[in-house]
Amino acid sequence: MKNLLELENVHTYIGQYHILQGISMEVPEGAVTVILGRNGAGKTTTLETILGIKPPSKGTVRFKGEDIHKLSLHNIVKKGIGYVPEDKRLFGTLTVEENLRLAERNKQDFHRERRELIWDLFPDLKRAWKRPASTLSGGQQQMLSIARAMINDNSIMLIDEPSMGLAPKLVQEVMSAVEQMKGLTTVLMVEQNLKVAESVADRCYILDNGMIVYSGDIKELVKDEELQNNYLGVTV
Amino acid sequence: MNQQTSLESAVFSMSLPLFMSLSLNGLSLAMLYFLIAAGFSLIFGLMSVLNLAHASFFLWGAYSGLAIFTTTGNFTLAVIGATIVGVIMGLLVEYLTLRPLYGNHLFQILMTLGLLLVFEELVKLIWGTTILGFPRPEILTGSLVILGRYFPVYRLFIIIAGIVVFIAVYLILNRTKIGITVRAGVEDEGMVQALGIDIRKVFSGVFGLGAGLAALGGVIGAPFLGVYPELGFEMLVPALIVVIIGGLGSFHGSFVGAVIIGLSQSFGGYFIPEFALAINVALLAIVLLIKPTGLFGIEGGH
Repeated sequence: MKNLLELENVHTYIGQYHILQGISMEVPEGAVTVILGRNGAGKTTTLETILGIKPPSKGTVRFKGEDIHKLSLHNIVKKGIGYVPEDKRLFGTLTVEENLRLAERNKQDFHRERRELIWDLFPDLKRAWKRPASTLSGGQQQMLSIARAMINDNSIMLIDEPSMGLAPKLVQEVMSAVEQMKGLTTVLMVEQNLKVAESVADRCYILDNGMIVYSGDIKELVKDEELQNNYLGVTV
Repeated sequence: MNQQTSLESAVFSMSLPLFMSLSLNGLSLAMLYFLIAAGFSLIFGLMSVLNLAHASFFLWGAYSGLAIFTTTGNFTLAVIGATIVGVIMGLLVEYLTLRPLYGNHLFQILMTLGLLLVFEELVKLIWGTTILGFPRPEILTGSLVILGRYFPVYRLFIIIAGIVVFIAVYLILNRTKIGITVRAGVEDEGMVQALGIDIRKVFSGVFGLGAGLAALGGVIGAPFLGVYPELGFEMLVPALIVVIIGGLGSFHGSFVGAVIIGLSQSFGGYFIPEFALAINVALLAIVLLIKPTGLFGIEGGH
C-alpha cells in the first residue's frame, strides 16, 4: 500500500514547550489509521502540525510525495485535506446549509452528489438544513462537523476524537460514518477510546510524551494488555 | 425642579409634526452613523482591530467628494469617486500598516490613533482649517411638507441612501458565499482558514468595503454637516457608541444601534441639549448592563 502522508522526525513547540519530539509516521492510502495515547501526549498537536496550524520547527511533512510543512494552513487544506477538529468548531450563527456551503471547494455537481450522500448518512442534518448550527444537539453537531469535511473531494480526513462527549449510540453512528468513508478517502483519526478505535482502524500509533511508542496492527495492541496499561491508562 | 417640570410639559405637549420632524432628523443622522459604524463593527468582529482611523475614511470621503463636486459639478460622480477613494485608502491602510500588526492590540491602537491624526493633518495641509460648504445638488434641494412642517429633501435622501446600503450589504452578507465567509470569520477565523480559505483576502475585502461605506457616509453627510478637519473625530465617538450598543461584529446591530443613537441625539438635542452626549453614554451603559455583548453581539466571539 502506498503512503499518502508521511511525517519524518517532526518536532513541534507550543511556546517554549517541546510537544512533539521527533515523530515519524506513515499513513497508507485508503486505510484508517488511528493515533492513540493519553491526554497531553501530543495527539491533537500532531494533526495541527500536519495542517500547518502549529507548523513544525524541524522535520518534514510529506503529502502525496510533496513537502507541505512550509505552506500556510489554507494552502495545505486545499491540497485535499478535510479536518474535523476536537471541539467541532462549527459556525453557530450559520445554518447547517451555510456551514457546508462555506466548506465547498470543488465543482458544483460533485457537491450535489456529496450532499445526497450526507443526507443518507445523517438524516438529522437534512431535517435541520435551515437551522443555525448552534441549535443542533451535541451529536448532530459532530455529524455536521464530519459532513463539512466530507463535502469536498478530500484525499484524507483528519478526525480529532469524534467520540468525545457522545452517548454510546451516537458514537456508533459516528463510527459507521467513518466506516463509510473508508471507501471514499483515507482517514487519520485521533481517539482515546481503544474499543472505538478498534472498530474502525487498520493501523495504529501510540503517542506518549510527544514520542511514538508503538506502531502496528491494532489487533495486536488489543491483545497486549501490558502495552495498554503502560500507555493508555486504565480507560479500556 | 422648575426646569424638570418645564421639560416634562415640553415633552408631553410635543405635537405630532414636531415629533415627525425630530424623528426624521434623527434618522438622517442615524444613517450617517450607520455608514461609519458598519465597517467599524465588521472590521473589529473579523480582525479584532479597533480601527480608530476608520473615522478618517468618513473625513476623506467628505473632502474628496467636495473636491470632485467642485471640479465636475456632478454629485453622482462625487459620491462614486469619494467611495472609491475610501476603498483605496482602506486597502492601503490594511495592507501597509495593519497587516504586520494582527494580534498585537496595543500597537494597533497606537497605529490607528496615529493614522487618525495624520489623516486629519493632511486635510488641513491640503484644504486648510476653515469650514467649507458643500452645496446641495440641484435635484436634492428644497423641502417637502410633511404634516405641516417643512422637511429638507436632502435629509430624506440620506435616509433612503442609508436604507438602500443596509439592504444591499445585508443581502450580500446573507445570500452570497463571500458574505457567509465574512460571518463565519467573525465567529472563528482560524476555522475558516482550516476550510481552505485565504482569510487575508477576506480581511482586505472587508476593510476596503468598510472604508468605502464610511467614505460614502462622509460625502453624502457633507452637505448636511459641513466639511471641516475635525469632522472625522467628531463622528468617531458616536460611531463607537453605536458599535458597542449594536454588538461588536454585528452588521444589523450597527444599524439598530445607529437608529437608537441618531434618535436619542435628535430628541435629546432638542429638549435637553446640554445632556445629549450624556444620554448616549447612559444608553450605552444600560445596554451593557443588560447584555454585555451589545444587542446583537455574538457570545464567545472576539
